Amino acid sequence: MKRLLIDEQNKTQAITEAVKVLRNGGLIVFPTETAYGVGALATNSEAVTKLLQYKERPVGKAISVAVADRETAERYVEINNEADQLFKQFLPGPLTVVCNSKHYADTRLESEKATLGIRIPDFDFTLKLLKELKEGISATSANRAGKKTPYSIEDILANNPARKTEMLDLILDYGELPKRPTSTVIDTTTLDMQVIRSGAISFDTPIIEKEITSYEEMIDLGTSFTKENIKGKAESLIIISFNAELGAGKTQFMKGVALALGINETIKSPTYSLLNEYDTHDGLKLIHIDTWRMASVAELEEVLQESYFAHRNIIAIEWAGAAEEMIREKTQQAIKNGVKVIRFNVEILYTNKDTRRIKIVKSHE
Amino acid sequence: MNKNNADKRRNKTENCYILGIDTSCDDTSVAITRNNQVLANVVSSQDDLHMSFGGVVPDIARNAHRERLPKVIEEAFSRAAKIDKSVKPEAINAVAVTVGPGLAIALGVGIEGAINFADKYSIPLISVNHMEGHLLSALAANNKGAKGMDYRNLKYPALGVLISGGHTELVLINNWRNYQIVAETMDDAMGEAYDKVARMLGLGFPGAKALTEMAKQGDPTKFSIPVPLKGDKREAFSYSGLKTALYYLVKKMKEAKPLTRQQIADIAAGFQVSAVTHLLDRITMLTAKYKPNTILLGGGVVSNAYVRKRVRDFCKQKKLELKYAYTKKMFVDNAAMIALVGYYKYLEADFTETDKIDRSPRLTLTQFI
Repeated sequence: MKRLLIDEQNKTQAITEAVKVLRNGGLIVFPTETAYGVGALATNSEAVTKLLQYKERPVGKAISVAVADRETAERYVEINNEADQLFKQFLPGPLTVVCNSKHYADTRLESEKATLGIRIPDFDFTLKLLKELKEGISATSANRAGKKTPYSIEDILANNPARKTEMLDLILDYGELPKRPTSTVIDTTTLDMQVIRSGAISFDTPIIEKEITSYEEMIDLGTSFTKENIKGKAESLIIISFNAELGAGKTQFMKGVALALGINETIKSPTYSLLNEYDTHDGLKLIHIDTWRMASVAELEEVLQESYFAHRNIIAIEWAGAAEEMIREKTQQAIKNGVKVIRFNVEILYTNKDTRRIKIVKSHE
Repeated sequence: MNKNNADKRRNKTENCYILGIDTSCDDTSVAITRNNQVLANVVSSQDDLHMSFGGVVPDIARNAHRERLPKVIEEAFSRAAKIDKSVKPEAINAVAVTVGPGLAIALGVGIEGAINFADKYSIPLISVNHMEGHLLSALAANNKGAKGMDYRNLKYPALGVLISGGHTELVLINNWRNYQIVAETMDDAMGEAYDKVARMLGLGFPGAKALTEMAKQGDPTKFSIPVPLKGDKREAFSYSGLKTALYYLVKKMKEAKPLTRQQIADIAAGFQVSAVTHLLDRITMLTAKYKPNTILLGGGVVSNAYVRKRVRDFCKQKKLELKYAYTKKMFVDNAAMIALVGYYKYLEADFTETDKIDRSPRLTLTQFI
């Protein structure tokens, strides 16, 4: 295992080295606009075998391919009209477009329907690398199945036994990446273009989109959002996940939510406790989670009781990205058990020091 | 005092040995006290344990605590026996264990261990509120019996200042074990703000210590950094606005170009002055209102020398007695403070039956346990 700290001076050299490793069937860890990915040359069967061993991913689960441009993508998949539109509108960007595979890449990367996900990362360094390589590489997050989505190299190393880390031939360390959700995955081979995994890009129309200028307004927004969308709809499990930077006002929003639910306790940041649980007077439970300081998903998994994923509960997650896979699995399990789930994604952006743009998108799962 | 309970005590007039256990968060800690003296205080992430796992990474996981606990108990006995030869499991009078606040799964492991020990040696079990531990940590005596103060000699009222990664609260001690929370944070805890700002400045996690070091080389007046709730008369703390202000400042500066070392130091210094001024503002406000005789400091943030200096200056000016633990190890989560509370509860025969003890993750100081 070799770890290269990327800076302005060694960028070109790092790319040359990464290309060499990939062509020799090795695995690299590389940065993207979402999280760190683990890359294997998509056309090299030895490399793909190594990748699957590293990921410990259940058989039959597809792995998408990152390429530099549309021209390269066309060698891998058939791009139909729908895919064509998406390419033009969103790529490069955090969107994985699922198309019919031309079986040019190792077929173990395909889904059971022989489709393949293609993505063009919006990350200058990685795009240059892919251009130089002239081929596609696997674009799956660098964690093993079920572990924390990695936004720093430490996230990967801390959750890997040494023998796993040894499998990674070259780590391209770009420091800590912003904690953005993973890419949205959309299937263009079905009639109605299904979103397979919701992520950074949303195709749903926001239910709320507004700009606010004070803490008080943020609390009010949390209250009105809850009154309109949660109260009285208690037959479902509600999941609220936040996509926002530090200090954007997530906890303020949650104060408003709690107020609307009739919780009298002060809502404090759950950063240190990972999870705070509140009872509302009409028998609901509000579970407030923060993954900011979480070292491994196992920590959260232990405190996150199965019983939370039931009707009438509200689970709100700050920094949801890091635990996304685990939350998704638990949610799927709940759905299998007959629980109805409504998910809200709350995005908060700084427009300047005191103003924020908020976008809330609702999806049924 | 319950008569049955009282009967469980033995050798009432002689030395009282308490085994303390704390697994409230990500550290496993075990301590042994003799009266109010700390004989051993082992904290898994801080002590280089000669057994097999020096420098343990903190981990809240149940299995991690389970694996560490027997080793940490063994280490505590071995260390205490070096100071007092009569320390051995059979000599322990009672086991004191943290029941909350903290993470339920982690608390469970400590409680389980305490029950096992108490059953094995047929001694009483004592439930301890972790926050009461932090409060009393200021009064512990070291293993030579120096620097301590008997809790019962405190001049009431006293004001407890509890500042850590998870808590920021001012506690009025009206009388023996009679607490009132007179101010607490409305959002982020003080230690949390330190860690978050440290990470923004690229100082790692947990970065509070690195931030404090950087602040020493910085000029706090270089950037205009607001003091939280300035001019606001609410009896409460708020650190989230300060965090936001810093985040925005750093973000804007970084967009232009990477921060220089000096800029990082200046921001760190400015943040620290604002964060601690906010603390002092509230201490001043509530001291004027409740007129305490003594101030007790507890919690991980007390490790910060600048915080101690500002509080010390304040106490000097107001002629108040100031107390904080004799060693930094007792500021952070540790079991010696739990054993110390256990000692005072032992004197009152305030025990919990092994089948009644339960974890209480959201316990506050005003809930009597």
